Amino acid sequence: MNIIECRSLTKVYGATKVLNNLSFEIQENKITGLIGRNGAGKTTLLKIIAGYFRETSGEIKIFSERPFNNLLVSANVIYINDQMNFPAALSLKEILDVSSTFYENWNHELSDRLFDYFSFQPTQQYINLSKGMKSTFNMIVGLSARCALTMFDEPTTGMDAAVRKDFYRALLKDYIDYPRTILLSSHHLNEIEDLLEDVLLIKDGKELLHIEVEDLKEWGIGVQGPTTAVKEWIKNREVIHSKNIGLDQMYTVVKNVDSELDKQKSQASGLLITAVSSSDVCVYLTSKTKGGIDDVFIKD
Amino acid sequence: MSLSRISLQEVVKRQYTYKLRAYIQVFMSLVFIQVLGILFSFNGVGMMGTSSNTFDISVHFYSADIVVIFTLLWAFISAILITTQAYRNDDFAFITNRLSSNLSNMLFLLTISLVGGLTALLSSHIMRILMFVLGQSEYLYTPTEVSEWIIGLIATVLYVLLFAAIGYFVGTLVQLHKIFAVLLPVIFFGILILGAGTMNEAIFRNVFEFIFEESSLALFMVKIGVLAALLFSGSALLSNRMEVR
Amino acid sequence: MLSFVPIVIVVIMVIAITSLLVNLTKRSSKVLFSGSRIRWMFVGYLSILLVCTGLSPMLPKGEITYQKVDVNQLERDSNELYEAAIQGNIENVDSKYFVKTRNFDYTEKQLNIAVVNEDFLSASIFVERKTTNDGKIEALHYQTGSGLNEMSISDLMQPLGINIDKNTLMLENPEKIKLEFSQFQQAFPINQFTGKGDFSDTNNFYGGTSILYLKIPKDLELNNTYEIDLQYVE
Repeated sequence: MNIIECRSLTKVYGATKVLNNLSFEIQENKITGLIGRNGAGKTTLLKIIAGYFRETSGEIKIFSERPFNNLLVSANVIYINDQMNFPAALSLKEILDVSSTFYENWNHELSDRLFDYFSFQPTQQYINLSKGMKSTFNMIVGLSARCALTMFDEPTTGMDAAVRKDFYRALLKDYIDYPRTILLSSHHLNEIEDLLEDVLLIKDGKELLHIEVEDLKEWGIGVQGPTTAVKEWIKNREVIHSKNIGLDQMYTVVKNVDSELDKQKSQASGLLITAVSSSDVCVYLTSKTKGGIDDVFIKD
Repeated sequence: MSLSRISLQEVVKRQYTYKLRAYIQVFMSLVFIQVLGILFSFNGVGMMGTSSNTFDISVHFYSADIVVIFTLLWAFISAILITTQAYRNDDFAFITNRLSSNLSNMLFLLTISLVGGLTALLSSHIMRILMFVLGQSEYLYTPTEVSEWIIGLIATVLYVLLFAAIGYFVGTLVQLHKIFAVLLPVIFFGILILGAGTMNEAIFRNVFEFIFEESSLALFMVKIGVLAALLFSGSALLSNRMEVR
Repeated sequence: MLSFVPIVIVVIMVIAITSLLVNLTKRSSKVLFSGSRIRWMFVGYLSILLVCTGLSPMLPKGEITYQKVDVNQLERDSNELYEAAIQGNIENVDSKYFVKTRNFDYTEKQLNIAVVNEDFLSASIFVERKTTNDGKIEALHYQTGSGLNEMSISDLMQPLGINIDKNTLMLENPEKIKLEFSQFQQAFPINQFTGKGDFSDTNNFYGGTSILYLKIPKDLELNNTYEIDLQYVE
């Protein structure tokens, strides 16, 4: 069953298309990473899914219903981001109490244990928390709500490395206890790679790639060698990244469509074929230009 | 996988109980405002003098009028505040849609109207006690009949509700477009200041008479009921397509 | 100018309320009061209100200093006294109306009447001619009670000053009594529907009748230099 169905979804703000003809589907009980650069439209997409924003055109279905102003969607979706706010009059414990009255599947035991583990004080005020603490608290709410569709938008903002690790472990463990559909947005993949099953890569409001993490690891290959040989080799191939090394060496990343035999052939012609990590593939795919920051400083 | 299904009624109920806790500051400001109103009331609201050949009698009048007026302003401002972004976003931290959010806000405003109206009426008794303890001049007792109690409670609560409804509508307009934050006060004070002697004054007077000089409680209830319903449903319609966070 | 003062106050109030509320709810790093403290504060305020509401009917109603009186009765008393005076029957009225009497020996042919301290006299003057010239003037002063709402303020009333100086009857109004009271009105939402609200409506003052009854010798001529109304009893 598809939890999210999205067909030519478009969201326009003024003159910019934040989401541009985006189509994808997300199946039940998968952990999907939503990867894209800043401004790629991740947050806009998640807010449309949560029912905060209205789509400009196209179709979006969550549990087969349109999310905007939909109570069924609201009751089964939780969206956690760093702009989240809770009423100032309530203490942290009270916020958890209120949340538990709303969400049917709220796990009190889990929220209490996490609350104690991260040493929150029951009488603390949310607005007095540091950025990392806020993110941690949001995460507790997001996990304990146990919503059928749980979305974390840049969940680790401000968290230190130890808490980040704890968060990912907690997410995974609770997912195993209580499988559900999870969407995790981030601009870098490497941290969450082990957690994910699928990756949805978006750029400029368009879907670039929606594949399993395992496939992503083999999606690209790096080719390094003398510039002329590399240029010859990459003809008719999809280049997603290229970089000059020294005066006459070049490194390119291309989509992996070659058979093992081809690779051996290339190696024979003096080219070095390497694997490209999935997070690098993401970076290259989502970058604005084919080159890198170095190109900015190259004056021809 | 089973999805949790929740009815609109249930969501509104939960949001309402949550708002009573979360918007508690509204009640604190009520206490502040009414205490201030009580202090202002010690000047009295009027004076009457009679004299005969042998007597010169002056009676200073005191009433809860100022407290009631302050309470109306408080309801107006509070209603505007709960339409602001920060409060609206709070709703979306939990299960909601725009309709349930509006409905629970209305229930909340109805509640604060009840509380505000009742406390404003009762505040005159604090004044009586204080005047008795502190005042120098003698105190004439006016009994309050049960019927006056009931009329007072209904009418005051309705007044507070009307101002809350106006505030909610104004706040919603401002949330729709910030231009209203400038436009509405300009229109209001423009009519108030420039309107004297022109046709606007007649309109103003008609509006005033329509509400403040209605002498039948039943008609008053109908008028306020209809007005509040219009304002609230207008706000709900206007904000139903609003995006949040 | 004065009418602007309340408006200015109200505007300041609005700003004050707004800033207060906004400050408390703005997501600044300080929360002035926690939820539970506000709850206690509010409950405290409510209980003060309720206690005061319970106490206020028990406040003395002015009837400790003043006796209770029925204003309608005062009016009847007043009429009764007046009628009696017109009919020359004044000596038969209830002795509670009687204030004082003065007797003068006076053998002149003429008597001027003057008010010492004002143009008008607070009492009505009735004149009864005796059947003989006995050279005696009797001045009798009667008064009925005054009341404000249900309070008798008759005890505060002073008698007229009556004297004869040479050939003038000098009458002196008693000093005016100044009384100040505080009164509570219902708030405007109540008055709007009960029709009350005009300040004077709510109070019922009745000033008593004061009568100076003169018994004069048969042929004495009264000269009324002031515009004092004299009623002759047949």
